[in-house]
Amino acid sequence: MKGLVANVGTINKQLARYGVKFGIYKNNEFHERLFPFDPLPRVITAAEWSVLEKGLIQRVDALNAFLGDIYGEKNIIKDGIVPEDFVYLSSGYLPQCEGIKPPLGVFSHISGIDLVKGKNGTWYILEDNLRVPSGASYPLIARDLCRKCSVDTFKNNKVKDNRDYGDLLKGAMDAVNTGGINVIFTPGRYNAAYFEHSYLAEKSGSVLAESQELFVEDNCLYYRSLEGNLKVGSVYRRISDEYLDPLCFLQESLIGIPNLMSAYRAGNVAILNAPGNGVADDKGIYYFVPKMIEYYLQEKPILSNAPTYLPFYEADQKYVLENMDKLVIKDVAEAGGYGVLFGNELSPEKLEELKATILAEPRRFIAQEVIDFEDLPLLEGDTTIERKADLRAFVLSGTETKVWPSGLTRFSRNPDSFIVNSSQGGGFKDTWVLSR
Amino acid sequence: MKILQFESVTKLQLSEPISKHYFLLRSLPATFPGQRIRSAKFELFPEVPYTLQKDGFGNWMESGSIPFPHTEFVYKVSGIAEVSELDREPEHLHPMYKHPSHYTHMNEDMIEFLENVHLRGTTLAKAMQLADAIYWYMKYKAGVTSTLTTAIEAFTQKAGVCQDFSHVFIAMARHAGIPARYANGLPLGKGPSHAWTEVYVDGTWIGVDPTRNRLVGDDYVRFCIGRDFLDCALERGVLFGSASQSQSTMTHVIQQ
Amino acid sequence: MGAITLNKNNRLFWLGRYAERVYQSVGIVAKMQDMMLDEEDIDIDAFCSKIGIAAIFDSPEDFCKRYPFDRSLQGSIICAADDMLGNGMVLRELLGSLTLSYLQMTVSALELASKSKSCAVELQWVLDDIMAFRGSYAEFVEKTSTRNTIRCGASVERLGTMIRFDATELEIRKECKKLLHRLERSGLDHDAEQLAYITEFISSEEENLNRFELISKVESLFQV
Repeated sequence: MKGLVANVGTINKQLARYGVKFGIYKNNEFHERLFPFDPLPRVITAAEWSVLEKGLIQRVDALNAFLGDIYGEKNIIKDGIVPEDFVYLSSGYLPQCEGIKPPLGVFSHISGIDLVKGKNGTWYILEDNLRVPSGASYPLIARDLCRKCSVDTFKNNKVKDNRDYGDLLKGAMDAVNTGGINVIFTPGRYNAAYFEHSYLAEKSGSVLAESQELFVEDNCLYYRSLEGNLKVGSVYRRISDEYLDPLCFLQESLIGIPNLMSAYRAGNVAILNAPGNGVADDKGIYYFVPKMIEYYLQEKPILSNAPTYLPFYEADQKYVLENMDKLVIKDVAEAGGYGVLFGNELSPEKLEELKATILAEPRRFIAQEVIDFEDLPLLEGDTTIERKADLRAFVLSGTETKVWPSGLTRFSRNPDSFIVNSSQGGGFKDTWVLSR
Repeated sequence: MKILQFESVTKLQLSEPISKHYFLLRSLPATFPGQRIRSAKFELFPEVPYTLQKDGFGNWMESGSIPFPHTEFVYKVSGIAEVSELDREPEHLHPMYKHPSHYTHMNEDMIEFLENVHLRGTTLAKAMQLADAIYWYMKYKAGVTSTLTTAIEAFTQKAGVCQDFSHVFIAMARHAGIPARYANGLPLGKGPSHAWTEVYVDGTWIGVDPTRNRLVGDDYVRFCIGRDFLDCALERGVLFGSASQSQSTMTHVIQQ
Repeated sequence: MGAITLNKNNRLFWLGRYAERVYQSVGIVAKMQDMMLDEEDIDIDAFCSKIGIAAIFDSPEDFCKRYPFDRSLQGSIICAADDMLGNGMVLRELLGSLTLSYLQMTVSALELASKSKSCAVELQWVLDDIMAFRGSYAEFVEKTSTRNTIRCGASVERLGTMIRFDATELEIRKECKKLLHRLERSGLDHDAEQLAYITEFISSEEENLNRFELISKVESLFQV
């Protein structure tokens, strides 16, 4: 790893050269920033990984089963495992998707599962991202560049190769492809993750397309090629559900494809990830994922949730109101690190205000014990400092479910921050999975 | 039971030819509990192929596109429906009909209004009291609202058309704990298409028409059901070009 | 991979144009510096009108400082470079990340040169990066038509500079021939009338070139 530290300048130059950026909007203007990279990787041992891998596969399989059930039979609700309010009040639940059976029954093809490692060595699931989780491209290109910058490092460490993400993605797209080309559908250049869209298109051998290059005819999706229209068999869309199809969702969407949902409902094209997945990665539904694993797979959950309380349940509500100062309270309607409140940081007035809101709208909140999670070293000048970091693991589902042996480790430079999120500053690290 | 013969013609007139037009119609009634479609015919002008599918609510959708310049778009539906509103089969209640939806949120004034109505008695009695209160509070007036008007906006201006009466009713009914949903289609007689509501009473849905302050009975042909107008638009379109459009709908329902 | 829409084809063409514009513009700065050294009496405003940018410079020195690097100046080299990169960025899956990296490097080289005292030497890096870009896409872009669409853009741009800067008719004819050769192999739509004019010009022996007319014909040859 010394080699990486010594070569940090070269690595950063390489990242700049390859335009490894993400976009942000500030005062309504679009800016691109380099995504700060810390050369010290997160290292996961082979033994640790084998548990994580099994646990992640189990979790994603259960979540896929849940999505199929919710938009189909709804047995988990009938059997009283998940209260119906948590499902149907979620903004991610889309009745427009009722009754749709996607190819192979897969709803979440690319899942980004966020985890943290506690100081006690236990991994906890922080949240599931089943809509359009981003971030895989960053460690993917960083590894490629690090290998070039410090050959010795990778000779001396037995690190599992992660450069096959493009193939994994292609595999997931091919598995559900209904006949035709693979397309990555981007809202365009001024999207925060445009680098990723174009890079993954290159790596998976897909065509990158914007809405005006795609259209529906005879209830099939086509790509408007100069040499004739090409049928699209699977579309990995990087735009959110409500903008997908102006005839089905938001009428005012200019970046959608009219009648895409009809083509999808008819089984004429696969959409990755399936619209409506938001119902399963809702912060309120998170609490029920371990129960889903037992319900659908008849297995004990391998990975733990962070200890979570639902004020919706009376006993939990009592505990939450009495222990606010120890808990982190999350508003289920907010995403991206927003709407996360630490009880011990609130003034007495704010605390009372929050209590009143919880009493008035108990379903809107979840409360979690603050996990004392492991610090990772970051390079700062010639020394290292310790900071909080999480891990987004990428799980790909096609004919089988696979975990990418790497992931996006994000850290916060702010020593007081427990929130690691690229839309709120911070940077990333490579994630090494050791092969032995 | 009544046997209703229905016909509806909608004409979309464009000021300039438009080069491309995607449409999604919900203009063919389905067989629902309390309604059996004996026969139905659907026609499009210009004559283009279309796809017939059911949406997530059980409504028929007709989708397609017109890939060549045109200035007129007409769709016509006719058929025969058997309606027996009073012996509907029981249905499972989908919980989404208990909660506010896009068009059916409440504000303080609406909550106060609802409290002052003092709903009492059976669920159906409450629904009728609510419909009555809205009927006398709001004025039927065309042109003051649009398809984008929400329940709050319509309530505030005390006026609107059947879509607005229905949204206000649905918002308040759900707030009062009565599951309610939006319905539209054709009532007996001549005129434009109509929107009304349904409330969930003891395992079945019962039609309530707040615009006319009455129970729906057997003289309405139902085209769509959903949470509110958003799920039930009889026609949605994406048009490429800069034409202004005018639309007219003529419907006719007679009892056989 | 390799399937192209009209939109992408237009972007390829403009990528070629902007890359060539950056390359030619660096040459223009060198030309200006030469003129300064040789103490010619420089009509800076006339020079600006020749290259088609606003005549807002106080002196030749001011020109050399701002024309390459000023992002707020419409028509500056850095603006052309940004547009070049912008077009390239949306073509990554066609060009490949490696080819694209040379476009990023061109922009970075310009930014670096702006901070240097001897920017003329530093601008050499910009030319190197554009040359690397040319070599890279020639090597890695599979389809002949895709490569030639980029080259058509480059030819149109180069002809513009040549015609404006007193290239001989022979040289211009040669470049026009090259353009038509590329056009045949590209996937671009073209205007038959303009094509006829250019074909006629190539085959004519007379020395009666109407430079303005030829520029306008070349500029409107492609419908992009």
